[in-house]
Amino acid sequence: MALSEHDSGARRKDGIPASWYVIALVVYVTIGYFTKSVLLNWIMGPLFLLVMLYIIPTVIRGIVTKARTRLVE
Amino acid sequence: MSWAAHEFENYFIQKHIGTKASFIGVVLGTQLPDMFTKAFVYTADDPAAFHRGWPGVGFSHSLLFGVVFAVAILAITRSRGWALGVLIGHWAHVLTDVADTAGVMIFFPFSTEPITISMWKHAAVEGRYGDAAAYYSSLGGVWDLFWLLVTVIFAWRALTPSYFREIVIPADPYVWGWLHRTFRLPERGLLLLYQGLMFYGLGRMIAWFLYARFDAQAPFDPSWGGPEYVQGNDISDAGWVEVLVRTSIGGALFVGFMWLCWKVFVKRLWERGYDVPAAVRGTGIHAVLELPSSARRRAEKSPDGDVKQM
Repeated sequence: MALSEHDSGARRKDGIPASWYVIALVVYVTIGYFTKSVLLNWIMGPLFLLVMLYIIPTVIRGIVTKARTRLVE
Repeated sequence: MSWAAHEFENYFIQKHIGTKASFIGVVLGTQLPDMFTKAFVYTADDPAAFHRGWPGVGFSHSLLFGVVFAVAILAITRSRGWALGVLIGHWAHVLTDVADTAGVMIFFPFSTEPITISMWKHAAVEGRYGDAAAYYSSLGGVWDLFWLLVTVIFAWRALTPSYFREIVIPADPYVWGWLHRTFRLPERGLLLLYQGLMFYGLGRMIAWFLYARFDAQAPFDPSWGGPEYVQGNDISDAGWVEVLVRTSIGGALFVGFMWLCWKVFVKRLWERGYDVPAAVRGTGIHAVLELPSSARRRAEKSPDGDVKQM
């Protein structure tokens, strides 16, 4: 698999802090407990970690960067 | 039925197959028995008999069902890693489900006798939520905990970024590469996708356990064959001698049938299949599993003694 330079940078960091996993687990169990059919299923369940620790932070970072750029302009 | 155990066992298997089978294939295999049937189980008149018996969809929990899928995948994709992954994953699911009262028809169609050690009750008759409450009030929940501990203690390395990079991706570079390109996921994203199943297993184990204790308020009954408040769901009333005889005959016929299939066409399919460059197969059991002795055997055979550790 050909990895981009951005990916190589991520490789050097090697891993995600354990505390992030714990936070994601607490959020998952809390939401899952109250909305069982939404998260406690085989589609949303395995994807939750990716959504919580990669997709949401990436989207937020993108929005913040865009907002900062606009402010500077 | 087992719940989170089917998620945890994937990583335990991964630790023992190394680059010899695809992790995604293993995941597909472990989900295969319930993939097309589980949705109908809770609405069936007799859920246990429908899920594990014959007539019903119990054939999905037989060893032959996994073989049929694995051979089909080998014939279509020619990928040995995928075929092996699906087979190992499926068989792991089947063997794990031996522990509930409904059991599994391991040697179907050569024997329709379910094999069970009746550790906890198959409680699908209670509906999905009732099933969860019963499972996490019985030895079923302990079974999940057992698999979690086994995975964390003996296969923790399989969850690390370096293992994912050096073993999991090289074992299936095409699919991980496709995910990387199609969804623009960097290695960090792929790692989270890989670890997601472990996370899901742990998360749902805790959430359903809390549901059983505080919402359903089901009595905690980790006794053999519990919980007592659920109706018995044995789908066979045969005595142990009858089970032993029928299973022995079924097992012998199954082995004979497998041998015949191997000689007639599976061997040919295997030989025309391909391995990814990272997969180093030994002979016998070392062709499938990455055991400590596999590396030693390679070292003995290799003239320069260059051994790649898995």
